Amino acid sequence: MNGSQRIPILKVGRVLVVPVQVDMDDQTVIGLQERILSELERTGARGVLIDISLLEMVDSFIGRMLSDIAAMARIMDARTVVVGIQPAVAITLVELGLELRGVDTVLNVDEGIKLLRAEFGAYGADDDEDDEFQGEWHSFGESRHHA
Amino acid sequence: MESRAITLESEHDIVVARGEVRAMAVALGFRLIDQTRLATVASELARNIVKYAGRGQVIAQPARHADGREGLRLIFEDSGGGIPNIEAAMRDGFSTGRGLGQGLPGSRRLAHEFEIESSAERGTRVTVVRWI
Amino acid sequence: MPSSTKTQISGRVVELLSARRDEILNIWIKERLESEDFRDELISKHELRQQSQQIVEMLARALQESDGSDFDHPSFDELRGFLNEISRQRAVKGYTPSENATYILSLRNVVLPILAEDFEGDTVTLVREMDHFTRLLDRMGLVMVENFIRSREEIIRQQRADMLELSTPVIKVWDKILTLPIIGTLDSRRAQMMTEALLQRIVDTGSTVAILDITGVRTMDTLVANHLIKTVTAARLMGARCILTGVSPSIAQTMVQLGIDLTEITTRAQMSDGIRLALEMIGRKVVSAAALSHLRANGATPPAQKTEQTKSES
Repeated sequence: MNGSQRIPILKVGRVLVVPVQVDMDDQTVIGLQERILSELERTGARGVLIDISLLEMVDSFIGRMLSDIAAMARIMDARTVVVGIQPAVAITLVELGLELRGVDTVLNVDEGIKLLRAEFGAYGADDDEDDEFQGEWHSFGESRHHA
Repeated sequence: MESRAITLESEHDIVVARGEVRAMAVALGFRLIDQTRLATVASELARNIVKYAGRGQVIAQPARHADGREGLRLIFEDSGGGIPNIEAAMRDGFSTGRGLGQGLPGSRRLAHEFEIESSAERGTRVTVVRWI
Repeated sequence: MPSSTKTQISGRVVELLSARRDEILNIWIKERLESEDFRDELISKHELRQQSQQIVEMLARALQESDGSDFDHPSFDELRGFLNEISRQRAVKGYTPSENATYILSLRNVVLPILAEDFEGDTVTLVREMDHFTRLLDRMGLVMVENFIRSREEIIRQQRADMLELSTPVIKVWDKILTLPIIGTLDSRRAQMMTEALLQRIVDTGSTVAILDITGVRTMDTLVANHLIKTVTAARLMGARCILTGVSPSIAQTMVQLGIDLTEITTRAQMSDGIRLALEMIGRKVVSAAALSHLRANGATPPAQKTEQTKSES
């Protein structure tokens, strides 16, 4: 049995969202990597958001998996964003000598979606009205309105 | 607090080892960042044993520094074939297996004390200590 | 002669101290108030009186209960505890160590004349009793001094911890922008605390940019530089970018001479440049009000907003 089945891979728009909420053994890590790649192929998603904000530890094995997924997904024309690395985990990774080069990292899912949207419009080509700059001008107009 | 010995022979044991080590670090009053460092060291060095020696064990024991500080000592032992070139193995990026080669040098940076003995006859023993 | 290591105050002295304790107290307080050591800015007369009264009473009681025994006797525990407490208070208030010890030792000047009066004619006994009593007072003085020093060390430790905390103020200057002004000398411990404080604030505030300002850093060496690089890398792993500002020419020189590679760290000379860049990184820009109204007058607002603005202006 593959332990990685416990970790859901959700498709939201053109993005695969992967919330990792359990401590993974090495087989689970390898299984997850394979499942993400085959889901990318099956769905044609353009981005992968891996949320590890609940992970209390990232060792070199998991770190390497994150780098590998990013590199492999890039070949499949998808961008990988790792979300929510905790302060203690970040410091430990640096001391361990892992800098996760080539992996985009963001604070939270919001920032991740924003990043992917800037890249290709995370929810598909047909929702351009949700564009970030429109949003900015909108609030600008409103504050003026109140003045 | 009692010492604990954890047998390492499968990948699942790596998860058990880092979980046990973290629990002991919590009980000893280590801060979150140090709990994370110790759990990570346990994971790295336990994996080395499972991967290269096949089986071995880790002993986790409370320690006391000469200056009175408390700490946690982790002893990783196996009777595998030993590490032929320790100096090279301690360098960043060196690996003979499917790792990134961060295990040993990274663990040394995460601990306050780090000791390694290895021979083809008696296997390998890595001792690390982190003080509170 | 009794053993010189053990104090044994005779029953007669015990009785004497107990019977005349009010008199002893009054003379002692009078002597204290008149002495140059009395610091009325640190202790009120009322408080001094209360403390002294308790000491005299506890001493008389302990001597009676222990039958004139040594200071190590359990009967003196109450007095010992009280002396500890007074010393701690005095350390907090800012007494000097000698002022603290003088207080208790000055009891000798009060008690010895009383002893001399009582034992008039019997010099041998008087000298022995004076010796015993002095020894007892010395032990009390020692307790005061030891605890005073211990309390002071505790205070210094506490202040050092406070300073460490104060010295790493992470300030939110704008939505999603933090600044960390680093001042003074960065030792390993402080650098570590700084990193942890910054990373935690990044999570708490959801900030994506952090400005590390080293204008106030006196010396740069490999240790400090490595800590900066480590902080920047850890922040990046969490999803925040760092900007290093306030690099003085001499620190820039040192860094190059030390062979420290900062090419991966964004640097700006001034903190203000750093803030400008940080705003750009979160998609904001500071422009002059005149330029903005000029832009607006020329219809630079996006078409989608135009109707609404016309409405609000009319």
